[in-house]
Amino acid sequence: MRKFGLFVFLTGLVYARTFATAEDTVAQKSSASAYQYVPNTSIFGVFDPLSVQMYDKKFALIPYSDLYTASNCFSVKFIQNFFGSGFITDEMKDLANSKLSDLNTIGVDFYSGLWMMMRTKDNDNAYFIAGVDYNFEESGQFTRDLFHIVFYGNYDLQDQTADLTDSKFSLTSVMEYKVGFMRVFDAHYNKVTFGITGGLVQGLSGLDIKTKYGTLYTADDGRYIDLDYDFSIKTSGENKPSLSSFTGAGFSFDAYAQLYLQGPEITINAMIQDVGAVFWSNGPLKISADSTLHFEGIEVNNFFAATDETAAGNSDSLLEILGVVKEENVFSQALPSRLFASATKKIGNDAYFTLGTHFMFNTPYKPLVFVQAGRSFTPMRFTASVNAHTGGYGGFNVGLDLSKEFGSFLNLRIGSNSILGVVAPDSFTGAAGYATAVVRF
Amino acid sequence: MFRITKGLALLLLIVSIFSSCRRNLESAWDTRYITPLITGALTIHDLVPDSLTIIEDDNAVTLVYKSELLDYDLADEAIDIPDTSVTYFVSLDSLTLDDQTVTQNISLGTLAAALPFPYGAIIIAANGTAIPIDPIVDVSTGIFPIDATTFFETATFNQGYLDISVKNGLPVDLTDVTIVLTNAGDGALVAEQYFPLIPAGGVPVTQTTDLAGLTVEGHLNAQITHLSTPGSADPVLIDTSDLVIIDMTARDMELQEAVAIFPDQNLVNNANDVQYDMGGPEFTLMGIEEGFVVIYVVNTIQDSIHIDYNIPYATDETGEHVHIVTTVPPGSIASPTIVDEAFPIAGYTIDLRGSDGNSVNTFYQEFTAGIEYSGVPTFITLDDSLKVIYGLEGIIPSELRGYLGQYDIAASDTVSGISLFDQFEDGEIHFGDINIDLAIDNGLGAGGNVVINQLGGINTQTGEVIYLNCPEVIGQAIPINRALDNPYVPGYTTITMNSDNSNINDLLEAFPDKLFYDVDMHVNPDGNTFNYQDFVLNTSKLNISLNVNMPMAFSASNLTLRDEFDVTVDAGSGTDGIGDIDLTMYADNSFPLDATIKLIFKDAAGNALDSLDFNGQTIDPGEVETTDCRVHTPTHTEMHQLIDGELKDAIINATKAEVTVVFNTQSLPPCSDIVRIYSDYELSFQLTGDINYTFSTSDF
Repeated sequence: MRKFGLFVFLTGLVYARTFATAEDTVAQKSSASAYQYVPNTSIFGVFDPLSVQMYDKKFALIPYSDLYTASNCFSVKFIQNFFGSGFITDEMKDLANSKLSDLNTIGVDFYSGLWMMMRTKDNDNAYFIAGVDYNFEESGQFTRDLFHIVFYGNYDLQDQTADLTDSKFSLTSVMEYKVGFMRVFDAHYNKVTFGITGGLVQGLSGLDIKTKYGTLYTADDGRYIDLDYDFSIKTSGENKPSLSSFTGAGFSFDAYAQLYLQGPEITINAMIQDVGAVFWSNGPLKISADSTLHFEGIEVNNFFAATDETAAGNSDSLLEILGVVKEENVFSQALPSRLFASATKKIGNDAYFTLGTHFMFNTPYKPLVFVQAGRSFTPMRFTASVNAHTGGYGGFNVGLDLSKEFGSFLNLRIGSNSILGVVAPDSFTGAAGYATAVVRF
Repeated sequence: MFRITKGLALLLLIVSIFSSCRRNLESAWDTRYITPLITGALTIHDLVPDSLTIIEDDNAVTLVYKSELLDYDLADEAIDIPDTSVTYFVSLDSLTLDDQTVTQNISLGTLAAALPFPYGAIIIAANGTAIPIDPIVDVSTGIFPIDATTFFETATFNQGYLDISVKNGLPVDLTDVTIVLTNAGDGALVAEQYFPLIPAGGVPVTQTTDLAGLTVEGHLNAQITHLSTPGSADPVLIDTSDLVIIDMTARDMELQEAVAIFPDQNLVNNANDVQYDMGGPEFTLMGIEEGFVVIYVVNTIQDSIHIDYNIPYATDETGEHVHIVTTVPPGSIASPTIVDEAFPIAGYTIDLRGSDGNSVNTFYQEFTAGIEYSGVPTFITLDDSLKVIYGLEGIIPSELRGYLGQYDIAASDTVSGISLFDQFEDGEIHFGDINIDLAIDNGLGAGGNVVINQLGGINTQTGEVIYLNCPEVIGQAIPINRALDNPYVPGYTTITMNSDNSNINDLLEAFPDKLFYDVDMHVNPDGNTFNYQDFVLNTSKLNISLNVNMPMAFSASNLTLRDEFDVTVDAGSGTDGIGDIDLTMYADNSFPLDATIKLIFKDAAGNALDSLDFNGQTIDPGEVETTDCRVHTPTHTEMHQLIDGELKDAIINATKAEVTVVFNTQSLPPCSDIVRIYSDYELSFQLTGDINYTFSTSDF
């Protein structure tokens, strides 16, 4: 309730300011260099050609970078310490434990790239688009018991069966090289924009772990352990990720669409990115096992003859005990594809309100719904927005988006869709940040 | 063990979402795991191998063990069969040709034609009529060619004779006849014979020429150089077909050289007895396990040499005797041919009684080397030679029979001890009543006796030396039984030793890891008492062993098992995260022995770093029930040891560990202190760990 109250307060604050100072500037209809803010399709800092204002320029460079991490249970501090270099305290674990559901999620997405847009010679409404992306997506889904085993151990699960079923983890790290075009159909009243890009995917590293079924029973006093498991691990191999070599290769494409309805001054944006797959073929490895194991310790049949083996142990013998099959198999991995859709209503001259959604396929991502409200300060060529969302890898969070034009040459945009985790990392479960720029020539 | 624990945790992590190998930064968190580490069971078979135990019907364990002292190969060590090859160098002093006869017929017509006019014309004109014949004085005939090439083309004689026999079929006597025989090629005179009278009527007259030193060609010319006749006063019937028959017979020919068609003839023809010098044994029969007839021939003769070798009294299981036939191709003096062959005779049995059947160590052999009639002229000279080596070589008998002779065998050595106790390194053990057999297996089919001069054991760990003190055995000439045949059974002789007649208990309880002995064996000390019925097989051995067959029952005081093994704890992979570990040992013991366990961790130099002994706690013994002095219910023991601090570091840094288990027997009155061990006794154990572990993402 406190979080919701904070959101309402911030949203109300922005709206009050917006309606008080709105001016009659519409970006799409503005003159060549007049400031006109075009709301973004999403509350992420990804490449969004639908929101790029070219003014009277022929060419634009768009660098961007976006980091998003969230979980339904892990606090930002927990995630920082886990992915960073910190100690995960019992308090952090207890907090996460208190938020666990039957199936839990965590994800870390990082996107960065450099794009260019160029008007075609013959048609000011047609654009040639090309760019390079680096996409890193790491996400997992895990059971309450798996969390417990990993972060607490199995000591207090004696005489209990831990359920590990449906736990999974995936990682993709790829470079993408794309080209495409975008066309604006201007009916001098309403306006429709379509764009498409596509290209080559350079796989850097990939990992796909799935546990179709898994249980672990720990007997009292640890006298034995029963494992029942069916899991597979596919990895792109031990090759060090390098931009100069292809660990995998694939394809992907993006599509963009925008409908601007001048009458109600509503803009509807939709874009889908990274639809494709990568094929890991340079030394991939598949490890799988579908078995049950009753483990009472390494068996020593002849105490005085077998002690060497007992003391030495080794991973090979452990893998043999587990019945693991190792094989080198080319495998494909669907890219984490992102769908964005939003509708923005311009209110007055300087204010707008956006309702949108975001979903990422091939991950444990849950549909994310967001609202965003913003106010432009035309003389300052500056726009501020606040947003709130729920879904994704985590739960509720709020964010802030700031956009500033420097003449018609440069636009800078910074923001976060999950600012609560930044403000209070010990308590909130998501954190994000992004920065984009548009440099026009 | 820590690798196992970590491995289990890794398994859990590997299916988790957090185990990316691609993080470079470290994060960490504390966990607590409880897991089984080691499980196992110590049974009687871990202390004594299965092969050394017999499980009785009531599960009581009996130890059966054979400690071999002496394993003497009698056939290999005592009997050697020498090679018997002989060498012959053969020159052709015996080169011969068969007697040959050439007949030359001369008709009256032919003879008359050769007479001077008018003698011949008158005789020819009177053919068929009867006329008186005037005397004819000293006329000669022409040359008559003689072809003897069917016998030789040329031959130089060291010896030989040519008999010229003339039969007169004419109606008048012939007188003063001279016949000359010359080589057609070089014209050399071969023979010239004078016949004073060759009477009419067919009675042949013979003159002989010595051919020694002559070279005779196959193409000869014969001529009657002088011929006279007194004629006849009365008319005689003239028939020009009447013949003078001249037979020329070459006989008793021994050649220096010849190009001839030689008849079958042996150049080497030997048949002899070969006697082995065995130095005492008198064998009458020998079976061949391995060996060869070797035949080596160097031939300069330009004809094939046919070899025939026989040992008539060497037969195989089908009754076939050794018979070897081989051929040496033609050679020459400049380029002799060599044949070097070895014919295996494994499986044959040779009668060693010789050709007369009354000898010993003797076999009879026949060898011939000769040429055969081929119908083709061949040049052979007495300068040709034949070198022949033949005989038996590399003979390894499978059996020998007869009289083995009198000989002594002395053997002394130090051998491995009684491995029943190899695993025990310290402590005291006392056995109950035990019987140990000194077993002597004699593989010879001959009588004898054995003298054990000395027998004892050494514990090299303690330096203790125990000499067997058994007056019935030590220093006594122990008669040993001879092996029996058909079927073959070694002669067994057994002497039982126990605590009543020896100090055998002291010997065993010293845990000897070495045994030493000094033994003499005397074969046939009384001579040939079995009248050549002794035998020895190639498998015959003299074996002396200590045969332990005793109930596994003992009392033990600090009986110690110790072993050292490598420890490989990869200190670079996650061991930093290991915190305190509460090790728990669960033991269920049905042995009537208590046990303490101690693990000493050592560095590479063997220095002790620290030890783990569960605080000296003892695994309780199984409780013996007084009704049958057996343990029926295992005793449960739970022991704890906290591993932290220096002990943990020692385990991680150790490269070796020494495990020591010390046993002490426990019993209750009225049961004896000597406890009986049953096969269903077991010490099962399990080691679990309650492990505090600080995970670090850098571990993965």
